[in-house]
Amino acid sequence: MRRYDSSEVGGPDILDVEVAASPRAGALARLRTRAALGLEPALAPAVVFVPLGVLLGPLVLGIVSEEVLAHLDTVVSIALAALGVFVGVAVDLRDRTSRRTLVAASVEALVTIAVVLGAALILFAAWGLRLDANPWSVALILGISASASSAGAVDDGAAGADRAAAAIANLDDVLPLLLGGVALAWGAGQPPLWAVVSAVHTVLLGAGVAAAGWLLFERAHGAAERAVFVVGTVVLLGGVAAYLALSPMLAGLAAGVFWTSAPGRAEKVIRDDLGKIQHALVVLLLVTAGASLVWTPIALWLFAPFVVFRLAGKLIGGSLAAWLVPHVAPADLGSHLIAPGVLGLAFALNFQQVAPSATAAAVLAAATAGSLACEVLGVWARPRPARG
Amino acid sequence: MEPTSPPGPARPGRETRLLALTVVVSALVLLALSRFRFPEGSPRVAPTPPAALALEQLAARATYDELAAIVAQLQAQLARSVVALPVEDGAAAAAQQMPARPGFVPGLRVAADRALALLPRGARLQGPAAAAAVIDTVHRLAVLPVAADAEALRWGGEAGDPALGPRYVIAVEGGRAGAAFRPVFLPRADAAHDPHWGGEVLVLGGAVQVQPGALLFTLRGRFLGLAIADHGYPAIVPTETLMRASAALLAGQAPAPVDLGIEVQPLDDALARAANVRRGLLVTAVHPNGPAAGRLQFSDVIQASDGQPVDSEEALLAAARRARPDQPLRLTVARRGDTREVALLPVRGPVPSTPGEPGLELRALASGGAEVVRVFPSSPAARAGLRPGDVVVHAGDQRTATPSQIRRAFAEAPAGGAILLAIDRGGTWIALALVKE
Repeated sequence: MRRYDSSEVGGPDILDVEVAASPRAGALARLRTRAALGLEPALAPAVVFVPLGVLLGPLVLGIVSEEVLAHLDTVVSIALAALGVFVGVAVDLRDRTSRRTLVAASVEALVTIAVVLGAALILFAAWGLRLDANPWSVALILGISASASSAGAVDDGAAGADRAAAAIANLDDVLPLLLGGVALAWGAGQPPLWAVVSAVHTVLLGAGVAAAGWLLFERAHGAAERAVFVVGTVVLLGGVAAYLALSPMLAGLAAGVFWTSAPGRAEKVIRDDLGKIQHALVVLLLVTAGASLVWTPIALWLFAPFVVFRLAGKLIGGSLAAWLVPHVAPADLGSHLIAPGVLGLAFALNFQQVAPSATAAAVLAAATAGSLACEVLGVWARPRPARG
Repeated sequence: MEPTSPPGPARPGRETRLLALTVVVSALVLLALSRFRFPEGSPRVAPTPPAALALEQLAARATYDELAAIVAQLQAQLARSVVALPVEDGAAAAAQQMPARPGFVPGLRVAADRALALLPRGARLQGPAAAAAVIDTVHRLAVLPVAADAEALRWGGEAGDPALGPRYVIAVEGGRAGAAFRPVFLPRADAAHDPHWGGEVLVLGGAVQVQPGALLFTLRGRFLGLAIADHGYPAIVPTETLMRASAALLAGQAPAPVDLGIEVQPLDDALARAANVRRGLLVTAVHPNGPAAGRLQFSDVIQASDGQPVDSEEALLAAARRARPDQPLRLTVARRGDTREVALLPVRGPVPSTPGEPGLELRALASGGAEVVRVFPSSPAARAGLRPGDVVVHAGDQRTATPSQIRRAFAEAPAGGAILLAIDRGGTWIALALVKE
């Protein structure tokens, strides 16, 4: 039986195991719920659920109408906070290899952000685009949306390179989420210095709520009570961050890091209990992103550069990380990281929530369509699976 | 034993090939895409986002009654600090070939007996005070006398916010019944330098519906600035920039007119492609007696003035006006792929025409008469109202006059005299007097 690496976002999933073991798996195996987390390269969840969102959304069937979308805002914030928590609990800096992995992941993410940001700024100036937000903040948000990646799940038989790439993919969202806290506030109209202060507030908020939740669930009298505390804490994280127009993902990241470094097995508790609702939240996030899509000329113009420069950034960043931290990052790291997973479009959706505007809608549409295109490219460019 | 071939150079790995291919493709994509310009007018505001829906729901609540109460309170507070000034919208009327329509613009009482207003393009002030108005034709600002029945609004010394977050402001617009107050939501406003105004303006994001010329106040009644249309997009000229731009007017002096002796036209997409330049002002005519004669020519594109990009005639004239009388204006000019610096000393007042010359270019028509090809600014022909495309069919006593006969008739006229021209303008015959100075 396949045993999944427990450090992957979301942890082992009973449904996946059941479906994969079924003799009639076939097409069903491609729709495994693990794919909903962007961990399965064969068919990423975004490829299924984003088009489903478009179909259900106001542009086609209107089942997920604008009114429904308005009501879903808070739930989406909670889903974003849960994603942040999963990134946070993957940050374990207790041994040297983990720290080196974080360095390699951050280098790779930073290069991708820089490549997309630079290209976007050059193109904005050349196109004479009149954006209704600061072009630097828009370019930074595009870069952050492009920097997320998903290397896929690894099992016991996976090669060392696959395992290393998966570990880096787990951690390459940490730096973008930190920058994202600043970029969101900046994109929403705050001056850069205040945007940094706002990100610090978000981290403090996340750590504070995490501390309160930790005190509660560590003293829970049973598994059910503990699960209620955990879910309640994440709901509080997402709700408070959304109310204060802060980044729920950064608040979740701060909470996740707090729980990882807290005494005891807090991060394992979180993985176990949050794992029960994560799939539903991620699917909701993707369907909402699909239903919120609005196609504008700016979005169409941004789509191709997003895909091309994201690809370039991933490959250059992967090579640089492999050169800087050769013991941790495989030489073909970039090819492993082309599939974007769900965090990039989640971040673009968050920007649309915090600062709704034509530009934010264009960024969301470009990031979503770009993510779908990159999923396809990821299947093509991914190194052949090797067994080690 | 068979000889073995020596090993060839190691083939680059798959990752290296992919990296090289991607970098090359990225560079090509960047080069190719940066040659395009985003079509003007295409950026659309997204359909109502979920947040706007929540706002609509809010609008049904009593909160909006409170906003209405604030507007009523401000109206009472500011009613005598703003006035509605009658204007005649000549430009719009000419465009629609209709009689000029009366309209109203809001004026800000800057002194007990004077008001400042922004005139719409082509509009003329009406009413008894119009003759006494001091007008800045570059910024289209006017200061004119009004009934002294209130104190001036204290608008100096209260600097507006450099950037406004999402907030409501009060827009005051002109109307037949007087100045009208209404709340306007500003999603965002970002400060940007505007060469036309010579300072910072606040560019408004989102679909803000506010008339150019509207006076904007905070909900506490503080004057924020003047609404303008910046290349068709709404913007605010904040207090400080407005005070600087209107300083001479407020001192009672109409800024001296300046002239560079050129006619310019903003580039549209087709012209930009033809001129192989992305932005700037295309020189369409050069006055033979002006400072640009021999230095600029038709098809030159003026890209910047003293290092600041210019994309409108008003911005160029504003820069010329700001230059010291003895200091030439440094223009960055693109000509057939080359970029050069041209120094021009602006002329204070209109460029004088050559004595004895009517100031127009004509071409003889085979059917008789002469067609006006070009009219030089500030020339007798321009003052007479001649336009390119007019056909001169009579000049004085001469029927179906040729270009040389028209020039001769003008040269022979005594100083201060005039020759009568019959013009065929689009099938309508009109008479014009070409006055010799």
